[in-house]
Amino acid sequence: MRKLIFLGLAQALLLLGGCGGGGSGAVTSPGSTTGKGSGTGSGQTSNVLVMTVDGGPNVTPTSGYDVDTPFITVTVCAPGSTTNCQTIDHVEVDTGSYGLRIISSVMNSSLASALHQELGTDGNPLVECTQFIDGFSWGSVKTADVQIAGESASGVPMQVIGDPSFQNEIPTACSGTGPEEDTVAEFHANGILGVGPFGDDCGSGCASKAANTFYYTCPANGTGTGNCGGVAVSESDQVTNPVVAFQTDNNGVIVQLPTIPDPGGAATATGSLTFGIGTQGNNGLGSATVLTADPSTGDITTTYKGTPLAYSYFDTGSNGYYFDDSSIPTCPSTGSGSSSTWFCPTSELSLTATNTGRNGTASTVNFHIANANTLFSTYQGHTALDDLGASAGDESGYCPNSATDCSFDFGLPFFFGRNVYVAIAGANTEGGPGPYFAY
Amino acid sequence: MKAFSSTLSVALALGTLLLAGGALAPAKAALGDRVASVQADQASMKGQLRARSEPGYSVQEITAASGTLVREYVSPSGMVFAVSWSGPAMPNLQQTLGTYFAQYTTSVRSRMTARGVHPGHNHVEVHSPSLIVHAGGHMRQYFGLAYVPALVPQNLSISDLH
Repeated sequence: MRKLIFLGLAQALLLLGGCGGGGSGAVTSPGSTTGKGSGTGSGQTSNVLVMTVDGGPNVTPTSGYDVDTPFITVTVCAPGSTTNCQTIDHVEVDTGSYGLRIISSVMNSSLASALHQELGTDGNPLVECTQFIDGFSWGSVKTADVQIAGESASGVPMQVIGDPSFQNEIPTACSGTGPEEDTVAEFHANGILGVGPFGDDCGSGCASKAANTFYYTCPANGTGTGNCGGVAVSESDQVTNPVVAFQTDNNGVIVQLPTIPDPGGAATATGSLTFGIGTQGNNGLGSATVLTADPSTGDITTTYKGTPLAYSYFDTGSNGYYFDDSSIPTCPSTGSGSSSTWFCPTSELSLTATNTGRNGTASTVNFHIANANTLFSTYQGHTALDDLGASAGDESGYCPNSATDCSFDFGLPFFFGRNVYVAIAGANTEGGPGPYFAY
Repeated sequence: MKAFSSTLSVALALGTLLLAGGALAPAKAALGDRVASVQADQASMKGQLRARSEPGYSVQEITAASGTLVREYVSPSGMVFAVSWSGPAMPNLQQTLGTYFAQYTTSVRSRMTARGVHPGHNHVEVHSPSLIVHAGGHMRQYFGLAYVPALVPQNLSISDLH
């Protein structure tokens, strides 16, 4: 599953010149007290990138804005080129997905035309239907060289969302999964970097089954929903978490966000995304508790108010705590006919959950849930909120196995004031092999 | 990836009804439709269909070729009042939500701009008088439930479905 791709010398030298990563006064070094090695000595790859929580790209007074969404800047280059590159901001950091995806419209034509199109077994271009929970993103799978902080990866399969060459042939099996999210306005980001605990986006299922509903081959510039056919794609050709393709620091990431004011959070927040776990002086595990994750789903078990929830997860791509607690009132309807599912307790709640890894290690988490309407009105414009939550429903019928098998989604609010380590499946770390989460 | 419930029993007399109705059923989806439409879903998903009976309702379980398990909950009067899914891919909601799919997409889109605050990508909650949807998960693990409150049989709680 993992791919190790070596840099050309010229590219490595370019990286030593530095490209956009590194220091911010707001960033602390995770685990630095127990880290190994010499830390910032010359020759070390810069592995820390500023990560910002803000309202997202192209915010205007009428556009709405993102809350609890973390962004970084990445540089995408044509394969083998150090000059045909573009630096792209407001790429969402998502521990609930795997791989890099950029909205086609934000790429300049020079770069877009130079990325290498992957082909399916029938010789036609490979196109993906990426399924998010709230919709799908359709676009071609191409290889690119990717630079993030001082890290670089060559020939990484990524997705070009909304690639115009394939927009007139979206299969009904794809468009049927939900609303289309192929533009910046629909996606609320210029792209997304999936740095969850897997090296590729779909895994063995898409490698063995043509009807996996993610991967298709399609003739370019065709029209008609019947043009594309499902295709099996080897894991090495699937859209790949760029971290596993880095030359070093390729076994996971650390997501770090500062503590923010309570109540009301902050207008914006600045943290960091650090590559590697225990590979440099600044990314040691320190005293973090390792919770190993399910090898096929990446999930852990959360026990909340006595109920074990075996499909729980840590997800920077979720902008709140999502869980079931019928004792917490949801917000009143705003008149659109659909009632809100944000939590609206009369006063801020202090709650506790216990997370248990598949290794049996347990960790208690204390968190707060505040009144969402107050957060959105009294603190209007604040995009960093550590006490935002929503009801995930009080019905258990959809839980994968039984009434007690369900989920607690630790979205971005969980990450404030923490260093959260995400170790990738199959990778070795000082805390043992991934997949695991640690904090 | 996900195991079937051990209470699963294959093949009910309902199968006859499915076959009889299937030939005439339009190739569209299930929620809010007669049970016959389940067979259209099965064909669409290239899936394996199993059925079981529970007190007060019955369940058609389709394992799609993608590996995702879709359950369609059928009332004693033969109406599909709820659908759920779990597995490595989203189901074709246009197929399984049927006439409710348009309302679903409209609701998800409208909440994207509600109150000026965009939601994240990884959770969906739709609450309206005519349709309730909960969906969650992440890549490699998707799950969700949709139901029509007015079609839920009396004396049956959605939280009791399995």
